[in-house]
Amino acid sequence: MGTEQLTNRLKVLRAERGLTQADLADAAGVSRKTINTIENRVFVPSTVLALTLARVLGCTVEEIFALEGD
Amino acid sequence: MIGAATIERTRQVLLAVTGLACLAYAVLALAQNRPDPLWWWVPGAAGSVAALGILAVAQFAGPKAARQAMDEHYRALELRAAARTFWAGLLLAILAGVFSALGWFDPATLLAALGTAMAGCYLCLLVFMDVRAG
Repeated sequence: MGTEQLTNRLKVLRAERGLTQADLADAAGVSRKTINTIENRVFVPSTVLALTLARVLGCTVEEIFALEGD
Repeated sequence: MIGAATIERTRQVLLAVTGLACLAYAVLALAQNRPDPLWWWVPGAAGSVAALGILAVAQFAGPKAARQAMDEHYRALELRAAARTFWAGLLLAILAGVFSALGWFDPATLLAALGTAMAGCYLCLLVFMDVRAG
């Protein structure tokens, strides 16, 4: 417990919907830099932002984020 | 069109200038061994101009862009920069104590240098982290 790394498919899901980082950032109400750092696994978003991203992308949070190895 | 990116760039430039002004003041204070190596109000004025500049750009950009520029990632960077500055401040305070005990610098000079160095350290670190985040 506590050592798992969070992975995400944000870049793939965003690209599938034809969105740029700036488009997604605008829709989620954050900066493009935030989206970039989440995609590069530098920044772990809050639950609120994770839920917002899921809503914007029209999928569940689990489809975007997962624990490494799951 | 002024957006979140414009606010971010403005903030980076103005905070970097303020941070460098504070660091320069600290270095000059130590180099000249006096608490007012140049006009004493320069660091404060730089900070005030930066605050007004950022506020003005955010006002023009609107509330949505301002919220985007000040999102949770930026707040996390602020906390990280503050945490690292805390340790840097402790180290600087220890050094200042040693310098004072050795009689190398006047206590007023050390106080001025310590205050401006800590502010400069925080601002430069924050800008560096913000720029590096892409």
